Amino acid sequence: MPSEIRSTFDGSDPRERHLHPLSLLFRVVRHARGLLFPALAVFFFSRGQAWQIWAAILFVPIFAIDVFRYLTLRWRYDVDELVVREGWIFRSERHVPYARIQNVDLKQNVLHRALSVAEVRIETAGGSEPEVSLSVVSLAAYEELRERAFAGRAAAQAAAVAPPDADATYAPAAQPFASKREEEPVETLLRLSPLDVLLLGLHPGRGLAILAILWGLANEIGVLDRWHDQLPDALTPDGSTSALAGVAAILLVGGGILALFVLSLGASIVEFANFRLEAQGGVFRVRRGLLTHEVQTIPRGRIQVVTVEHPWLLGLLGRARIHVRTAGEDAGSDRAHRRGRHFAPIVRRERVPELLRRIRGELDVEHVDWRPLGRTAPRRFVIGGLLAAAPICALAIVLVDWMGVGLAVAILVWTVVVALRRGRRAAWSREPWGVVVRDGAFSTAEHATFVDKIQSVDWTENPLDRRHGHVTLYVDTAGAARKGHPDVSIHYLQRETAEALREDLVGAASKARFRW
Amino acid sequence: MEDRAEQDRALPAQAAPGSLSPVGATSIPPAFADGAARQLEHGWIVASLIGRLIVFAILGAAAFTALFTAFVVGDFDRQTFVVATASVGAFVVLVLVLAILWPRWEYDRAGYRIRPDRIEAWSGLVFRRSVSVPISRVQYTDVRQGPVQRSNGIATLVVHTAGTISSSVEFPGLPPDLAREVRDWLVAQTGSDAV
Repeated sequence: MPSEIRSTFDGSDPRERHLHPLSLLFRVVRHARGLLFPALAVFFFSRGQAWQIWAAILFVPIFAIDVFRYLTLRWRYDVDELVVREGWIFRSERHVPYARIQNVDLKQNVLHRALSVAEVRIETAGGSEPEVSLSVVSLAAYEELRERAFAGRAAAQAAAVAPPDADATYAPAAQPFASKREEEPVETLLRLSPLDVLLLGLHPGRGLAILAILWGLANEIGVLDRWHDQLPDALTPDGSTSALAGVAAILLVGGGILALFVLSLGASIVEFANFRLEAQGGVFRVRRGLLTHEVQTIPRGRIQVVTVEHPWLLGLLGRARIHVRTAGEDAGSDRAHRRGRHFAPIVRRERVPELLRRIRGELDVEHVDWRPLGRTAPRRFVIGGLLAAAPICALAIVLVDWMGVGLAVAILVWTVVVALRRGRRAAWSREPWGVVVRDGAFSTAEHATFVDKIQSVDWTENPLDRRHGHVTLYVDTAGAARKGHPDVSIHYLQRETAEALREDLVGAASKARFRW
Repeated sequence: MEDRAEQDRALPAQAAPGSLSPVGATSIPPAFADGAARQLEHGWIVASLIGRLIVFAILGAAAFTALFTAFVVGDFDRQTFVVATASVGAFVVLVLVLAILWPRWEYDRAGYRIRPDRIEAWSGLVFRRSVSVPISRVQYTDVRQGPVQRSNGIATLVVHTAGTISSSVEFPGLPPDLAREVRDWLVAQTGSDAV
């Protein structure tokens, strides 16, 4: 079977590719930044005498290594793998089968763009580090790499036996190289309007910031002054001077918050301007960035977990966001990847079902027969929340007197409200295609994974859980998650329910073939 | 437990249950054909105890060294010295007793089950944990055996998956030959599953 495929897909090319000559420039720039302080030290301490010698000792070896790396790194395209060679005395030759490639990502900062080159990272399923990182290559070389990698992957998938219950939406990805060549149409699924980009800057956590700005405005107009005059003297023992100081403080805080808010909007524009989600064949492409262009390529079949988030503020505006997780990304280290890859950072609620169907034909988290947790779960959420809040409250009372007591009471009340709401809203459902869970009090999220992506199903139980007959169920996939907290987990599930669900999920997973 | 495993192995190989698995190359080791929950080998208690005692000895020595150093360097009266030594001593004895009893208690709560389509393990006394891995998700397997384990006739089967939190699942306290048998069976199951 594989030999037949090879005859139709002969994408191999024995010629070796090199990095773009500008790589040297970028390496030098990168190191120059790191060497700034040593360089200054040399400049000041050597006082003109023999600074050349110091420079030679410090910098020449590093730049020599850069040149050496540039000269020795090369890659070629074999029949079913990418071969990257590096080094001269200690040689390394990495073979990356096309079938294992998860993503081919491109990153271009302003300088890269001016010189039309890019940094390319190839991720495979194993490990957290990108398998191959090429910095920098020409855009043509990136296009070639991307095309060959995914054509090779498609050929390798076609060679493997298709699962009997394969979804029809998988078909495009499984086509051999020959048909892939006839440029499949690129379909744009989502663009962000300028308003959307600004709304993204209104992070839910910054809803408070807006309140503060309104407060500041009200203050400016003088509403607060009148209100302030009516306050009992107990709060302002020194009379007018303290009132003035108070107003100044409020203005200062308001100004600071306003500055933060503007910064946040700016950051959102830099990060999400030019956002575009495209689909081409079996591959999604996410482009974004104002100054630094970033292109992420996500093969559809490699999506392990899909998350639909409803941050309360975006929810009020009728919008949601979608993240996806693929294998081989390290969520722990990179803040941007903490919730997975951006798929639709902000999208109108009514478009969510359609986008989810593009990920997988049967994926639907709206028409779900939600099963709530047991009756005792809300109470358990409250206990957990109170235990977590107790140290802060104790600290507040010890440190801030009677005001602290008020603060502690406020924290406790808020904790209970959030916990009760979370406990009542938490739910899960076993769907024909997999499992979906819902979590969150005011900002909610639905996390879904598929039967063929489940790697194991675990539960844990602490003494408090045991008293209530609860366990916490974890559905593990190859998609990275925060350490110990996979996206698809159900807290405080009744033990018998958890056992039954696990029996069912593991059985189904065992029958479904896992594809990376 | 060991006796039962020996008996099962003496029986002729049972074929049927293996066919339930999706790949179904070879059948499940006959010792596990019943799919019942199993306890760890008794040797696990001793091995676990030895491990704990080694850690205890190191930490205990460190505690007393710190105590005596503090009294040599610092300027304390005799009474403080006696009280401190007695309380640290009592604490150390308590920890020692716990270290000795713990493996026994834990033994009653730990176990594993190997079925044609999944392998499961559970453990923990205060914080309990249970893992269930579908056979078709096993990427590769190790059998591990340290010197203490070897002298107590047990081995640890380690199952690796492509997952993140449970990317390697340990099955401690298996009889070594049975662990190897399970490993060979798992290799046969997963070998045909090309990605």
